[in-house]
Amino acid sequence: MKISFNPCDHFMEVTVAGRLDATWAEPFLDALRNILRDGQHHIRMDAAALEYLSSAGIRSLLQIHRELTAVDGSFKVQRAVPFVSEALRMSGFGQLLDTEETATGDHGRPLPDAASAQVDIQEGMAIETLLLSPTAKLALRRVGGWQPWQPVAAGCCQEMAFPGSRFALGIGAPGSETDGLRQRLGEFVAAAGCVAYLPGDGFEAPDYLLGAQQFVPKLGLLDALICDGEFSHLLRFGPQQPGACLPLSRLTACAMDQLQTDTMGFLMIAEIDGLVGAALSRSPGLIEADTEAGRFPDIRDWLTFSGERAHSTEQALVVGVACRQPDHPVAQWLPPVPSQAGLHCHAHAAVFPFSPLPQGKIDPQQWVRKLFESGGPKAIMHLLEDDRPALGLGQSAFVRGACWCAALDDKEVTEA
Amino acid sequence: MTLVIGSFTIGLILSLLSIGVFISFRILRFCDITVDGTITLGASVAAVLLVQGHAPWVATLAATAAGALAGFVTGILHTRFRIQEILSGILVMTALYSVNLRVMGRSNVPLLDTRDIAAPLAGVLATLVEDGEALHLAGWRVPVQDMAMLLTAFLVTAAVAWLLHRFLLTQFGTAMRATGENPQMVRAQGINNQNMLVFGLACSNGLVGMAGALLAQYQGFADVQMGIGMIVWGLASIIIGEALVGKTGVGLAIVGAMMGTVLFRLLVAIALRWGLDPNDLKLVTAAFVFAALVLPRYGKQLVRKMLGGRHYA
Amino acid sequence: MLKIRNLAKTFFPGTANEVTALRDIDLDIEDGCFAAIIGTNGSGKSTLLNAVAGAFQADAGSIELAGVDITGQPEYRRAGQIGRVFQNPFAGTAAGMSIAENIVLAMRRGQRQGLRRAVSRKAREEIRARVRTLNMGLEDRLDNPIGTLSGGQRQALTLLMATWQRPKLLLLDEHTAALDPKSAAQVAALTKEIIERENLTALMVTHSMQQAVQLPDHIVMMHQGRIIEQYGAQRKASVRVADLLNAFDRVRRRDLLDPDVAALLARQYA
Repeated sequence: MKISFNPCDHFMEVTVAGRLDATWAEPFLDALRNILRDGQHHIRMDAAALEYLSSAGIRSLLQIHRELTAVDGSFKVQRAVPFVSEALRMSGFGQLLDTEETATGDHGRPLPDAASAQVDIQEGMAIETLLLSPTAKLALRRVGGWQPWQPVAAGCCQEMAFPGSRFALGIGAPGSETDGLRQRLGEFVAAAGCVAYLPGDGFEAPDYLLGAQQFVPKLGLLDALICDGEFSHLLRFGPQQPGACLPLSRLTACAMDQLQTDTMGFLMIAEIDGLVGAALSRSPGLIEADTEAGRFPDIRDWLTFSGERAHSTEQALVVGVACRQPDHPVAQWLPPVPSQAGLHCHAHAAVFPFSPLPQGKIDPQQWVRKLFESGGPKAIMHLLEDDRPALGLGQSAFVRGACWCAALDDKEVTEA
Repeated sequence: MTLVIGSFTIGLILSLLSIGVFISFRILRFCDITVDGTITLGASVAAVLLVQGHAPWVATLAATAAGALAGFVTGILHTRFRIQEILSGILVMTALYSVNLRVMGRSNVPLLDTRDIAAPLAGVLATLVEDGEALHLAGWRVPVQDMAMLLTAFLVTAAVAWLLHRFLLTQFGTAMRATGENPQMVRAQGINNQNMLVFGLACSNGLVGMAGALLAQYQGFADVQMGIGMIVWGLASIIIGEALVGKTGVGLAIVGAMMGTVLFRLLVAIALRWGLDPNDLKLVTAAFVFAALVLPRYGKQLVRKMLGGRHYA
Repeated sequence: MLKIRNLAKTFFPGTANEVTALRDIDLDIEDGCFAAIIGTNGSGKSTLLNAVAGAFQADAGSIELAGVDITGQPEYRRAGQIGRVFQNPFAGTAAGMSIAENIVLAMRRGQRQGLRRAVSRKAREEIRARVRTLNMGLEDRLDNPIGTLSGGQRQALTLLMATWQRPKLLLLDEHTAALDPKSAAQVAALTKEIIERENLTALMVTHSMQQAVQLPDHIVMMHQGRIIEQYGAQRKASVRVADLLNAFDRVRRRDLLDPDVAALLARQYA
C-alpha cells in the first residue's frame, strides 16, 4: 500500500494506492491519527487507486471517521472504484462515500468569527483569542495557609465541594479528619465537577472523583486556590512551524495581555511538550515537629521531582492562577517564576492519555469531563520552573490546546 | 644406527618432560617455565646421589621428588601469593639455578664408573647375547649398554604414560582436567581448584625431574646449563604430537606427546648430521614453535584468500 | 534457610574506583522459598549473589545457611551445599570434557574426589536416566564434548548439575539472560519445574521483570547496594510488571533530587 498526503486549504487530502487489508489497516490508521493530532480535522481520502478493501480496512476507515466526528471533523472517501464503493455500501457504511466528485471547501472548517477572533503569531506558535463573555471575572478564594514543611495542626483542613462551575488546585484529600484525612493529603486539580488527586501514599498513582447527577465531589483542603465564575476569553494555540511549543509563562503573559489584567485564573487542556514539576510522595499531614522535611536529604522522602521534561505527547489538564504585579495581594500566595521578573504563578497539571480536541470555541465543562471519562489521570504535579544553571529543565510547555481564562475580580479575592 | 638408537633413547627420556609440559600447558593451561630449572634439578640431584653411591632407582626417585617440590613451590607462589603464573615460574626457575649449583657444588658433575638405572637390564641382556658386549640388529652392532638404556627408557615412559592415563580418568583426575578448563566451574562443584593446580604442577615437574635424572644417567653428566630451552623443546614435541594424532582424547594425546618427542629428536639428529650448527638449534626450535603456533591462524586466511575471498567464519 | 545480616562490601576501597556494592543488607529466605533479586545495573544484585556463593569475602556482616555460619568459608567449601548456575552458559561446564565427565564432578559435589574411575558403568546409567528427564535427546550424546552443545542445552545441563545433589540453596545468576528467547523460556520453565519438584530454596538474579513476576514466590528489589523493597507472598500475588517499573522509576527520580533540586523546590514549592 502507498499513502501520500496533500494539504489543501481546509482539509487534508490522503491518496491511498494498493490494498487496504489486515496488514495495512493499523499503519493506515496511525498515519491518519497523526494528521488528526497535527490539528487537521477534515480528511478526504482519494480512493481512485485503491485496489482492494477488506473488512479490516473498512474497520480502520470507520474508526478514523468516528474519531474525527468526535472533534467536529469529517472524513469522506472520494473517487472510489466500484469494487470499493460496493464493499462500503454493502457493509452499510455508504455514508463514508463522498458522491460528489468535487473536492471543494464545502466540508471545510468555517473560518472563525472574524469579529471575535484575533490571531497572533509569535515564535512559531499561532495563538487565536476567542471572546466568550468579555466582562466575566473570577472570584478567587484561598484556603488554608499551611506553612510548607511545618506540622499540620489538627482541624486545619477545610471541606469544600466542587460543582461544575468551580475550578481549583492545591493540597487536599477526600474524607474527613476523623477517618485519617491527614495521612492521605496530596496535590489535586479540580474542574468541571471532577477532581484528580494524589492519595499521598507514596505510590504516586493518582485517583479521581467524577461528579454525576446528585454526586458532587468533596475534598478536605489543606491549602488551595479556588476560582468561581465564568471565563471571558478562550485562547486556542498550535504550532505554525513544526517543533514549536508554548511555555507556560508565555501563555500566561499572552493571556493577561488579552485580558488587560495583572491577575487571572485559567483552565487549560493541551497536548504536552514536556512537564517539569514536583509532587508530594508522602502526606504532609505526617510531618512531625522534629522532621526536617523541607531540607535535603529528608526532602526526598516527601517530594518527588519529575527529573525530566515528562509526559510528552500526552494531554494535560492544567489549572492555575497567575499574577504579574508583585505588590498585589494575590502575588503573595503564588510562587515566583524565575525567568519572568515579577511574574508569580501557581499551576497544577493532571496528565491524561492524548485525545484530540475540536477546533474553535469549545465548552470547558464538556471536554474536561471527556478527559476524565476516557480513563483516569496518569500523574498529577505541581508545575515549576527548573532554572538550575546548565542542568535546568526549564518550564513546562505545550504544543496545542485550549486555555480558558478570566481576570480575577479584585473585590472578590478572599482568604479563608 | 647409533644415531637412531640415540635419538630414540633421548626421545623417550624427554617424553617424560613432554608429558610433564603436557600436564601444565595443556591440562592445567598453566604457562609453567619452572621446567627449565626442574630438569637440571632432577639431573643434578640424581648425579650427586649416584656419585655418593646411592642406588640409581633411589637417585631417580629423589630427583622426581625434588622436581615435584619445585612445581609445588611455583604453584604456591601463584595460588597463595597471587603472583602471575609466568612470573612465579620465572622466580622458581631463577632460584633453581643457584639451588642446582649448590646441589652439585660446581657447574658440572660427570658420572664416571657409576651404575645407571639401565644396569640391571644390561646385565640380563649381556647374558643373552653371544659376545656379552653387543647384539647385532639387522647387521648393525649395538652395544648392550645402549640397548638396555633404550629399553629402560621405554619401560619407564610407558609405565608413566599408562599410570597418568589411568589417573586422568579417575574422579580426581577428571577434576584436575576440569580445573584447567574452567576453574570457576570446578569451584562451583566444591573442588578447591587452587590445591588442584598446585598438585598438578607438582606432578608435572616431578615428571620433568625424573626426565632430568634419566638424561643425566644416559649422558653421563649433569650440567647446570642443560635445562635452557627445554620448555620450548617440550612444546615443540607436543605440537608435533598433536599434528600426528589430532586433538582428541587424553590417552591419545599422551601417546602423541611421546611420539612427537621421539620424532622431534630424530629430526634434530638428522638436521645436525646434515650440518646444522648446534648453536643454532634453539633458534630453529623456537622458530618452529612460533610457526606451529601462528601458521594455523594465518594458514586459514591464506586458504580463504585462495578460495576467492569467501568467508566461512 | 538463608539468613543475611548487615552484609557490606566495598570494592577497591581508598582508590578512585571505590565502589560500595553492598550496604547493610539484611535478607531472610525461608526454606523452600524461590526468591528473585531485581535491580538496576550496578545495584549490587549480582554482588549479593556472589557474596553468598563466597566469590569474595564481605567487609562486614554474616551469612548463615541452614543454621551454619558460612561467612568465613571459601567458595569451594560452600559449593558443597550451594548449587550455582551462571549467566554465561559456558561458565558452568568444562567445554572440552564430555557430558558424562562434567556431570560426574557434580555427582560428587561436596565429597572427596577419589581415585576410582570417574565415569563408571553405574554412574553412566544414573547419568543417562537423569539426563533423559531433560527431554533434549542428550542421553545418547553422553560422550560428546559439552562444547558441541547449544547455550540452552549447556545451561540446562548446568542446572541439572547444580541440583544433582539436592543443594540447600540454589543460586541463579541471570541464567537465561544470554540465551535466545526460545531457549530462555525453556530453561526458565525447567528451573521452575526443578525448584518445585525438589522444593528447593533458590535465589535468582534477573533483569527480566516478566520473569520476576512469573517465576518466583518472593521479589527482592535492590538499588545502589541496598534492598529497597521486598514483595513477599502476600504482595507478590498482586504485583504486575508495571508496578515494578514504577517502583524503579520512583527510586531513579529520588536520586535525581539532589541538593540543587532541593533548593529549587524550597524556592518554588510553597
